[in-house]
Amino acid sequence: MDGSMQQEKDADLIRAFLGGDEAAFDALVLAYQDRVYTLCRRLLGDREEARDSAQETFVKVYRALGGFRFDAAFSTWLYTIAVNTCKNKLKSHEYRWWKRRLRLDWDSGSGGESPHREPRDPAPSALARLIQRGDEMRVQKAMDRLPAESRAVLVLRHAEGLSYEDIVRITGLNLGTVKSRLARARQQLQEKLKES
Amino acid sequence: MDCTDVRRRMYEQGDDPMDRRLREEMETHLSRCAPCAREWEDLRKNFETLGSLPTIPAPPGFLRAVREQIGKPSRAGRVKEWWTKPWKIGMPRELAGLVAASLLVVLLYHGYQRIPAVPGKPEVGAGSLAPSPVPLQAPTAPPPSSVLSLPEKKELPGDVQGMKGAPETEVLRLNVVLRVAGPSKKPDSPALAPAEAVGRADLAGEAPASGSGKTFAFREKAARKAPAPGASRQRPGAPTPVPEAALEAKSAPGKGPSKDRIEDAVAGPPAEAQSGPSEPGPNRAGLPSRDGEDPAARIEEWVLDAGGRVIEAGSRESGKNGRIIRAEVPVENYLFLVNNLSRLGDLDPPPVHPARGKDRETVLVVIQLLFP
Repeated sequence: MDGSMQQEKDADLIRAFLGGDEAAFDALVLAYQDRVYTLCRRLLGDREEARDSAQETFVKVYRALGGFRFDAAFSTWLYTIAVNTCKNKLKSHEYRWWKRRLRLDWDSGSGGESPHREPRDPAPSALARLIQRGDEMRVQKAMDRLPAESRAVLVLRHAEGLSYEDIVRITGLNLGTVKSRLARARQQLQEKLKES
Repeated sequence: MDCTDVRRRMYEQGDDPMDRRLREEMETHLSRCAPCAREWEDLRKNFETLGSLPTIPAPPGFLRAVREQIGKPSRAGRVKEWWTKPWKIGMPRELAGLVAASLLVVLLYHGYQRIPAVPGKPEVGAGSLAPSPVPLQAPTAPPPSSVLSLPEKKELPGDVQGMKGAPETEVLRLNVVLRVAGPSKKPDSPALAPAEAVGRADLAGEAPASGSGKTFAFREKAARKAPAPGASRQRPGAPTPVPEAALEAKSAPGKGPSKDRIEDAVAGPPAEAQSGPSEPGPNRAGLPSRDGEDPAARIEEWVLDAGGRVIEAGSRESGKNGRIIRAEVPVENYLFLVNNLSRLGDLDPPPVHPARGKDRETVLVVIQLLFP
């Protein structure tokens, strides 16, 4: 389904929801829950925090959908809320405390296993898949060590494949800042990957 | 284009379409510079890896959890509801229980402090201010330093009654109706001679009031009423002897009275002391006494035992038929003093102001000895 078709479908669901059809909202959640959860997971690095933030994002959407203007894509609006929710989560004292503790646990040595890693595929069938998986984990781990603002633009641009315009809308930054922040993020990612 | 330029553009425009001239310049440099070529290869590979990161499926039950959260009121909604519909505040059970328990404690405390003291009746609780015939427990007296550092006497408003008025330092007025006969209607009347007073009331004692030269006659009420502790050892109709131990056992300020001393004082003098004839003796506070006993002196002792100090002893209040003793005692020993005073006579002690008692160290006590 291309972007314009998805936008039309989203708009229909939103109108139905605003007309009183609660099931339309469920359809929206089902359509976007994986993408929002993945985005939160990439930004926060933690499964539980990502689940909570993704759920919170949809709750906010439910309460604010009445004010949605159809001049922008629903997905962009949804991503904006998700990114802001994750930013707030990252700023929260509780999260920082948790992150610091996690880092201490990690530094103290827990068998070389990252607490953020995905569960290992029990039956890797091909060497290529294993390498690919290793690369993904390596990149994800390096991204987790980037500053939050660098991680956000990197994820939005490369993992989510959004355009600069969408990133500008979502982050609220101007285009020049987005570009310079993205360049800086790429450089930092390279450095982290070299360190590892 | 040198390595620095190439690497800067690599990071800035790595995944953007470049114009033809710029792309050719970069390709030329990368074909000749191995480190830059390696760097570019790594970067490109990382872009691909980033782009190929799989979408992570949301955990099971995601939609249901979202629906449950939607069902709960938002924080802003809760705050709004607290203001608009306070009766709909849903408190967690534990918090509600805690609040209820706290309210109960406060109510009990206030009710406890306001139990009216009924003279002659046993007190309801250990903390009741109703007088007890025997102070069962020695009070905890503050250390001597605190006694010495008591502030100078403040101006005592004479019209302050108990809790009323709420002055800076609380003044508690204790009217002690002595269990003895009062003075004659006209104390200065020459018709009431000391000998006559003794003759009229065989249990009376008299002494010249110090400074005033006036005399008073007393008669023990205790002989006609309930017998005092130790009264069984006396002859019928004999006055209840004043416990000598209470007079003789001087306690240093800051040292609370021991339980033994209190019990001795209540038990009364030894048998040989009781058997001798009672002779009127002088007193220090201008109150008549028998056997040299002096209620004011005893009160002074109790004040000292309570770790307090006597500000004014035995002065006569104009227009009143009695004696005034002003003293300052630690709050925690006020009950001790009240209990002891109840041994002299009936009194209706006001309680310490409950709201102010906790942040105050001493109370000023105005004891008025009244004749029945």
